[in-house]
Amino acid sequence: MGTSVFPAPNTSKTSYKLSLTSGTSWTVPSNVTQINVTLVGGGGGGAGSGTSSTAGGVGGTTTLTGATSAVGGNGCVNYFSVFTVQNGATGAASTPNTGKGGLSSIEYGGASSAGAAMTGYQPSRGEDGQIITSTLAVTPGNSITYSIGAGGTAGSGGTSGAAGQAGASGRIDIEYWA
Amino acid sequence: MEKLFAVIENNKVVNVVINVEDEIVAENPGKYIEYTNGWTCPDGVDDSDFFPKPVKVESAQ
Repeated sequence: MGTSVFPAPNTSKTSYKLSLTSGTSWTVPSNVTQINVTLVGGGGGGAGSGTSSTAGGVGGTTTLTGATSAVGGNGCVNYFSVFTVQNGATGAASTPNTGKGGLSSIEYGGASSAGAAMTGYQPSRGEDGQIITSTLAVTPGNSITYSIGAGGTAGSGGTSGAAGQAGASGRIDIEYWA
Repeated sequence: MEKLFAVIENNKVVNVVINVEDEIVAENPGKYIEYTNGWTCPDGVDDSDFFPKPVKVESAQ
C-alpha cells in the first residue's frame, strides 16, 4: 500500500534570513511566495535630568506593507515634578537596531536636590519597541515598501542635570525559503 | 552612522525613521526632515511626543 505525506516535504529549499536596517523597499526573490517577517519598533528615549530637562521622545514605528506594524516605545516621561534631579550622568548609548529603550540620566547615580538617591525610581529608561511577527503571501519580483523606526530622541539635560540617551532604532527580520 | 528622519504629514510628525534613501527624500519634499538628537520641531508642526519640549520642574527643597 502506498503512503503519502501532506504537505509533501520539500527538501530542495534552503532557508534564508536577512535583517533590514536601512532603505524603504525590498524586492521579493524569485520562487518565493511566503515570508515570515518580524518587525521591531524603535525604543523610546531616556529622559534628561535637572531643572528644565526634557522627556525622552517616542520611538518610531516600524512598518512593512501587509504586516502588522511594530509601534515604538514611549519615551521616559519627565516625572520630576516632585524632585529636582541633579547630578545624573548620561548612561551608555543603546545598541542600534535592537529596539531597546534609551537610558535616562538618573539611571546612573542621579540624586534629588534633597540628597535622596533617585536610582531605582521607575521608569528609568524609555520603553522597548514592540516586536511583531507576521506571515505574508508574496509575489516573486514584487517590491515591498517598509520603514524602520528610529529610536526616540534623548531627553536633554537641564540645570545641574545630564542628558538621557536616545532609544535604539528598530529593524525588520525576514525569513524565507527558496 | 544612522541618518534620522522625521516624517511629516499635514504639519504633524507622524513617525521617526532611519536611513531613508536620498532619492526617496528628494522625491518627497517636505515629508522627510533629517534631524539629530536635540533637534527642535519647527513652530506650527505638531511634534506628537516625538520631540518633547523642556518642562520647568519644581524643586522639592
